[in-house]
Parts: sequence; C-alpha cells; structure tokens
Amino acid sequence: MAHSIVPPYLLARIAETDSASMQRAASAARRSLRSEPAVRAERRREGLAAPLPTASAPAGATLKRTIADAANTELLPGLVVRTEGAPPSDDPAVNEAYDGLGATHALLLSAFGRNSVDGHGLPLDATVHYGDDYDNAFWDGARMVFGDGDGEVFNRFTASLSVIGHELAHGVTQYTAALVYEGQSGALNESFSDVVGALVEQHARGQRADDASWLIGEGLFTAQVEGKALRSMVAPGTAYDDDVLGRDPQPADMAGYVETRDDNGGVHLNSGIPNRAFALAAIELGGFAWERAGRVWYDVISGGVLSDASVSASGGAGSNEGGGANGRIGTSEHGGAGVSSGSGPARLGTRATFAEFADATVVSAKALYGDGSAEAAAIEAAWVTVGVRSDDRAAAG
Amino acid sequence: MTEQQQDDRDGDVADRGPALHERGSEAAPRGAMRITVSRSGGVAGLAPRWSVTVTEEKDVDSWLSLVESCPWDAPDPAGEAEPDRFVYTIRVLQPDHERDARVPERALDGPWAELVDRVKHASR
Repeated sequence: MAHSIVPPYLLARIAETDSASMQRAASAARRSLRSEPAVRAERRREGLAAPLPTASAPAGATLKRTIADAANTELLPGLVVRTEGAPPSDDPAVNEAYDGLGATHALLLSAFGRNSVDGHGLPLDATVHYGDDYDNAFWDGARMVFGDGDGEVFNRFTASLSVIGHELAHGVTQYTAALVYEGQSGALNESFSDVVGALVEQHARGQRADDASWLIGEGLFTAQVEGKALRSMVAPGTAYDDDVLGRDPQPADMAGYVETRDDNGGVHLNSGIPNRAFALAAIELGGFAWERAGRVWYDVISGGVLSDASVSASGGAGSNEGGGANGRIGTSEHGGAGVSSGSGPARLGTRATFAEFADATVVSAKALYGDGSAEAAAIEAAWVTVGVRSDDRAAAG
Repeated sequence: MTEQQQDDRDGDVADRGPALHERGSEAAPRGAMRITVSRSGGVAGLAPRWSVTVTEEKDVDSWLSLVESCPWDAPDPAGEAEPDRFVYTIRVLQPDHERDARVPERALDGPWAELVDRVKHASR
C-alpha cells in the first residue's frame, strides 16, 4: 500500500466531523480481555493512608528498548538501528523514540509501580520512518509505529512526548481494562491515553498540574497550521483553528457530546469530556498530577481496588490486601456495575460508559484517600463540571 | 493555508453536483461518476476527505474499471478496531447506482489502495 507522496491536505476536502450521513455503520469490535495478576498481586492497599506509589514498584524492573527504521516503507518491524544502552543515533527520530519510550517507562514505574506496558517488563519496541509522508503514530498491539508526517501539516510524530506516551498507554489499556475501542468505552480508552501522554510529559519536565499546558501533540503541527496541538485536555475545542483543518472539534462537556459513526463513534472527539474532568481534578488538587488524580485513573484502568469485590462503593479499602490478585475487570456486555453509588463493588467493564468510569474514579478515590478526602471531592466536582455526573449524584455519592 | 484551499473544501456528500442530478436515471449506463474517500481515526483525530467527479466517458470507463475491481461485497474484515489506526470510507455515486465500503487501514491493499491513492491524487 502506497500513500500519496504530496501532502494530501493542501487540496483535500476537509470533512465536517459530524457528517455521519455518508458513513456506513462501523462494525462493532471487541477488545480481548487480558489480566495481569502478578502486578495486581503487588498492588497492596494499606487503607486510607495511601502508600507512596514507588512503594509498590516491582523489584528488578528493567527497560529494554529497540528502535527500528522502516525506511519509509510499511514493512514492520524494519531494520534495528538502536538498542538499549547504545549511544544516540544521528537520526533525531530514532533518539526521540528511544527517549520517549524511556520517559513513558519511567512514569509507569515510578508513579504507578508498573513494570512496563504489560506490567511484566515487556520490552519496548518502536519503528520510525514508517510509510511515505505518513501522518500518524500508532500502537499495533506489540510495538509503537511512527510516521514522518507530510511536512506540510504534520512534522514527524516522534516530536511529541505526549503522543509517545499516548500510544504506549493504548498498550497498557490493552493489557488491563481492555476498553472496547468504540463509542464511550473507546473515548475512555482514548482519554486514558491522553492522560498518560500528558503525565509522561509533565513527569519528564517535573511540572506541576497548574504549570502544565495540558496539550496533547504539541509541536506536531508545522508552522503553516494555525494551532498549538492536536488536543487540549483542559480546554477541549481550543487546540487549533485553521482554515484548512477547521476548528478543533472536541466537546468540553456532555452537552457537546458528538454522535457519529466516524472514528469508531467519535473516540477522538468525545475523549475531550473525560480529558477535561481529569485536568480539572488534577489542577484542583495541585501538585504533580500523576500523584493523586493520575493514581486514581490508573487504579481504575488497572483494576486496582475495584477488582476486589470486598471493596464497597463507600470505600472499605482496609480489607482488600492483595485481593485483586486474580480480580478481572468486569466483562459484562454493558460494562458491569458501578452505575448506582453505594451499591457494592464498581468494576469497570470493557464497554464502560462515561458515567460508569466516573463512578469508578470516585469509588477508587474514596478507597485510596478516604470518603471525605479532597481527592474524592475534586474528582466528583470535575465530573459534575463536564456534565457526566449531576450535583445530586455527587452529593449522594 | 490559503483562501483558495479554504474555498476548495467540499460540501456534504449528499450534494452530488448538477451533472449527476440532471442526468437522472435516463443517463447512459456510463454516466458521470463521483468518488469520495473519507478518512477517520488516527492519533490526530482529523477527518480529511478527497473526492473526484468524472464526466468524460473515457475517464469514467477508466475509473469504473478500477472501482469494479474492488471487493465491494466482501464482508468487513474481522478483528477488533485498532487504536489510532485510520479507517477509510469509500463511496461511489453514479446516476442510478451507489455503493460504499468501510475499509480499515490494515485491509487497504490491492485495488482499494489503488483507488484511494488515485482519488487522493486526482483531488489535488
């Protein structure tokens, strides 16, 4: 398969994002559910006094990166050009990929005690220079793949650390919550990748929540594009406004939720809603976003306290030592329980809705930090602001 | 980005252009044809679209030959939606015939890839 050599955007018709009328129904697809018992076994809960994340970091975690070069073909994996510990290459794309994989590994390990993408030290492989003017980066289930961009709209995709973190986080989700990449669960999958992407960047820069840009993909657009980044987590819909690309179409709250068949049900659009909830909660809490808000989000995605049936929705965190070892996240068709607060364990299903995910974060925050904690309050308030939870629900929950 | 590029944006696909409307079902079997390729997905979440309208008979023949070589009736490829991969929606409108297909990036090879590339080039 060959892609257009000349940038397609210059004379391309840019479709309206809601032009669903011409789209055929996307076939539903389900992600396989995989569990990661060893990591969960290590995730001990110690009641309301949350341990430092590093306390649960597995011993002997190793980082093994391999960067390959597809030489502008679409043949994977390509030729290996840099391995772990080897000196930098002359090729900036190779070094950016290498460093970005390292930065993501560092965040996962130091903030969440997670040993690589799969929790078991998975070697991190990446291919750069994929395709011809290829305007994308993706996680193919086993490796990161980066295009060079067309040079007119996009620069090379290794240029953004948040995008590297975003892609690797798809791997984390694949090994944990396995959120189906469609509709609301797909938007949650996307949003968690943006959360991790932003956190990797903030972690690497030592940046606090209120100093962060909360932009995803900063630096990817060329100077010809009127825009700062692909997305803004704190202000969805404001990342770009360009006469060819149009305006950033992300909604900032449920009132703007986009129903479409494109993009697997608008997964890159509606992710703006949970993205903003995360950013608002993190900013409200202050400090480093990966320490509290980030920990709660990771806990929900990875099973954490919610994988243990002994944890009630009102937060009985003291009784589940190691209980998540074999806990699988719910597999029910409708995303499991967790809709009604105070009604037992909230498990995140593979087709979780925004409301179910929001409930799960509140349950997790209460379990980790306490019922009346600032963390639970900030997270509840953020979900109310973006219209996923109502004031009544928040007050009752 | 220039004014000309902005003006070059397309309207909704339902607007098939005067040539198609005027010809109607009485048109010759090989009447005008419009091919639209839309792409969604990708980490950037952008939704570009390319289209070409063909009216000259010899051009229609050439495009139709490629269009008809595509596996329109093949079932959607099995498998899960893949994060951040592209999905192409390809639609061909003729006066009395309309067809469309959704093709994930991983399945975009052979005549599909040729058709998408040709539409992209022609829409420049």
